[in-house]
Amino acid sequence: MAKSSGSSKRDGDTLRKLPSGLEIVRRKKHEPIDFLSLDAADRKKLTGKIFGSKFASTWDLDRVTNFIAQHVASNGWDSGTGPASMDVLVSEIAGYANGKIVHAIRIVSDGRYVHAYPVEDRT
Amino acid sequence: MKKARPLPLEDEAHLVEPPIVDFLHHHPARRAYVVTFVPEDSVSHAETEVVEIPDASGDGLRIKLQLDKLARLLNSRTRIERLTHSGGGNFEIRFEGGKTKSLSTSPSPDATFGVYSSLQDIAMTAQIAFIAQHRTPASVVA
Repeated sequence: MAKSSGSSKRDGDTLRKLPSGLEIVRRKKHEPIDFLSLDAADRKKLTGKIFGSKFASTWDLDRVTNFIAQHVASNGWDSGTGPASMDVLVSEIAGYANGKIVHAIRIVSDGRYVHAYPVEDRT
Repeated sequence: MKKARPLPLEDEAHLVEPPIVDFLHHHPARRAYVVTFVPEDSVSHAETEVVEIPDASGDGLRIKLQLDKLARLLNSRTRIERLTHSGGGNFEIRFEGGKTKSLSTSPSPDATFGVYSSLQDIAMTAQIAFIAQHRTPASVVA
């Protein structure tokens, strides 16, 4: 499997500067882990609020970065937008949040830096 | 004299509890600290919330004070530019000029009580500012 282009970046570093002026940053706490080696209690702990929800292994850094860039552009976010967030439902497993398999991704902008993480499905 | 009890550094969950600073930077154009934080469940069930704190406000000055203290505790002569939560008790701290420091709860001389109490203070300041900014005004009965 090819290495993601941002894998040498440190946590919190900018992965991509968008034409809108916003910057996508790396957030290691949401990157995939070996879920199968964990029991239910550890899976819940390691994908909860303190350790952060985690993407499934199908969502590597390049894919997450492209996903964020696409949705930021289609929603017209730019550096003047201010803090904003959006939830995007995907047609596959996005990852784990609070120990549960989830299918939604939250994209969060603080007005300058943008990142994304899996969130629990809305029922 | 009683022997001091060591900090439970081996258990990250004991060291950090929400509110936790998730991502922090200073926005020069907005003249504000922008703090993404992991809120306590009693404040928000969201994994993170974002709050902007004007740097000249009381809360802004408090955050500056804590960031300066953190830089000193981490032996840096330059100011903190970006602070990133890496999960559990782990943080990545980037200083002006590009130097970085990873703060880990695994036994490390950097994982001192002072460092974590500064981080906790910043997170609490952000959470209180968030609550104040989102409070619904009480209705006035004439």
